[in-house]
Amino acid sequence: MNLPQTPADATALAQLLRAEIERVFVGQRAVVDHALCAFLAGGHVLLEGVPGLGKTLLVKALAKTFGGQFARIQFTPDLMPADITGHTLFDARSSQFVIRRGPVFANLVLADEVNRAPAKTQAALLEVMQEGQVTIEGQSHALPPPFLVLATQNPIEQEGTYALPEAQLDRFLLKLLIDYPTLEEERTLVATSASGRTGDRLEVDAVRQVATPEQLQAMQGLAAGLQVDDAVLDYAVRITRATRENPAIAIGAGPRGGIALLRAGRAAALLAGREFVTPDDIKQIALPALRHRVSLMPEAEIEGLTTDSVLEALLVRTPAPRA
Amino acid sequence: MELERLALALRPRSSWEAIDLGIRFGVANARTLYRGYLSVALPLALLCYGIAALTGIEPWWPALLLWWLKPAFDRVALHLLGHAVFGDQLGPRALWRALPGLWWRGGLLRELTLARLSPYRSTVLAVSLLEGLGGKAARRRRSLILRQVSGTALLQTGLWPLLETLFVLSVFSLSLILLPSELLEQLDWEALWWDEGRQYWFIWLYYLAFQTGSCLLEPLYVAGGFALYLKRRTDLEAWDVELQFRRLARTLPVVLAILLAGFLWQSSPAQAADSQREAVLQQADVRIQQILEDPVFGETITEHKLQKRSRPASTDDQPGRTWLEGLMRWLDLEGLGKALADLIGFFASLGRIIGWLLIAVVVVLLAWLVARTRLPARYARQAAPPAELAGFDIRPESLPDDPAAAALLLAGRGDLRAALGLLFRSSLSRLAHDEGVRFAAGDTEGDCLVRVHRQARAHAPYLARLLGCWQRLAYAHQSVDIGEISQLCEQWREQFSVEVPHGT
Repeated sequence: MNLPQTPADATALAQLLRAEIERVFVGQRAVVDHALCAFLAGGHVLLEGVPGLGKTLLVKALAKTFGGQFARIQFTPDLMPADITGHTLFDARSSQFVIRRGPVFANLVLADEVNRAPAKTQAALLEVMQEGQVTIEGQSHALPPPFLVLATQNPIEQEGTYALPEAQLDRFLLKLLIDYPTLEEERTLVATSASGRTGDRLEVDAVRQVATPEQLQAMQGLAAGLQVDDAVLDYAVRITRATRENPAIAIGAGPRGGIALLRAGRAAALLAGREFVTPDDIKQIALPALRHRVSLMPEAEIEGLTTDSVLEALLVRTPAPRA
Repeated sequence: MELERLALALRPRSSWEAIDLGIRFGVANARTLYRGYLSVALPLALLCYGIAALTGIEPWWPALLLWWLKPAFDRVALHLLGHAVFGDQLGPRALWRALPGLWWRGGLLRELTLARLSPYRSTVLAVSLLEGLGGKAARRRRSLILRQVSGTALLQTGLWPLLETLFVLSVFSLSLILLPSELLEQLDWEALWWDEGRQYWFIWLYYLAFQTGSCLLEPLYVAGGFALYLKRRTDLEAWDVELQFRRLARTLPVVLAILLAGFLWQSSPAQAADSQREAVLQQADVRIQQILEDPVFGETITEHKLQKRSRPASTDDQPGRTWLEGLMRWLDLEGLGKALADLIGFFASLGRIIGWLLIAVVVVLLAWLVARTRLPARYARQAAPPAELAGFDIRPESLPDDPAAAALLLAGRGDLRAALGLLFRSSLSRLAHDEGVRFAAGDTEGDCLVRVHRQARAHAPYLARLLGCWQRLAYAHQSVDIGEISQLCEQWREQFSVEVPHGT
């Protein structure tokens, strides 16, 4: 398979990826688009949704589209950092220490229910996400590119969980909320998932491999090179700064929020088939890129406001570039 | 005791049910109860707090004194309840007349000293006040009354201070909710109570809330205890059974008479009975007069004596004035009472007018809000479009007479960005002012297009083309063909019905 040379090639390939994912992951178009955005931008994703909405299926399907290695880590209270990154073992036969790599050495890592593990284990994963490499016994091991972590959280059953601290949430490029599908989508989903299937295993056989990890890396490079006008850059920064001045927000987004907006905006533009970023790209990605970087004031929460509603109001008030 | 006149239904009840009944009875007779109770408690409280305020005594002293005097006020409440139970609604005047008797009757001294902290105060109060017992007999009676209900009486007495505290906390919570948050942040609550920052208005406010709660809850406490007392009497003396027997005794002769009448009715023709009855009735007056003339019944003597006129019934429909006038007449201040009553009447009328006006304002406001939320499109058309949109002046007067011509001129000079910017600005201005499309400050190009799709669909294709061109130039920094801009200028005129001026 040839590497994409132009943004148009990358767009065509991205649309192929989307079409393949949608063979098994019915509906939730926005979630698929945003997940692809994060993938093209080389960022990690935090998925939040009640159980049974296909979070694992999405990741498995995405992994299969480009033939990447997929690993799933179920986070539990007794999970240790070494269970994620790997550890050294003494091999009695060769009388040497050998390194056993952990599940994090994959292209796509699904960290299921990331808030169930204690802070130490979460920190180990988040460090890997940030650095893109693992250090075992003082020896650094680079992770295979492309590397993407999709961590999931369950908004219910908060008992016995360790909420991710704000500083660590900042490491995720996007936070996506998966809601229940519409009636039509659910009908199609149930019909396709229940025909000729036995057992509970998630089947992604229908998904074909349409790209390679190398091609994805090339796509990421093309996305990162898309042109951004000063007005658009200014718009992204103004949105980020507005979160710090909003009276309903206790802690606003830092500069990393603006960077995330721009990175994800570039990927969104690529996905939309454009070679340049428009304010629309920034605005449509603003909610997933910022919702986990802001904390509401207690008064606002008591009044029933949600992070999304506050951010939406903020976007309506922030003047868009015109000239 | 005339059990038939009791306003309460007597039957075996549990202790808590009895207290519940008592409180409900107190609430049902709230007007009489509170009018009488407050006519005694309020002047005394005002007097105590007034003296404290004038002499600079700490307000907790009068609060303590009034708390200590509670048994005296309980007697007032019980007196009112005792009459209400037999259907007598005592007015303040009758109450004040009975007041010396109530307080001097034996037992008050004991209630204010030895038995002040008794947890059974409200339940056994009736023993000394209504039964009039004293000494050893009263002690035996109290022990008999409390034998099965002492636990409930104890819990009731323990519950009331909690309710009073809850009332005070509720008043303060309500105040906190109503206070603006800026003011709340500035207030230092601890300093209001103690040390240099101590605020007397706050402390007086606290005692006002405390005393109000006490005055509102105390009569209900007495009512609960009284009902518990009645429950014990019913249990001990089987009042309910006695009452049933009395009712039966009253209805039995009537039943027999009805049966007898029915029998007679059957035995004689109806018409004959009617005519006979008419004849007897016609002769009745004459016959009575004849009988009374008999010397056995003595002779008729006419006497004249002076008697105080009773209050006409028609004034009873003004309870506030009756009470005040009654009180003032009793205090020999009838003139002042009338003036005060008139003044209260005036304020009541004024209050009523203000109340109706407020209701009218609220109704109009609600109607306006409903119209605003239910009819967004119409409202949107009526609202004036903004003068500025994200740095763009979109007032029609700020634009050239022929924006298309001006844009074409700019494009001819090579300033393509300015030309497209002018076309974009003019389009937004026309859409906002002529088509009523509501743009927001945060609308991106895509949002503007969505709004135009919804509210002015006919202009959407043109705007999409214009925006595509604008985005390529502004964000992608790609050159746009001047011919394309000329086309857009021509189409702009067609879209917004502008005639081509001569000579351009």
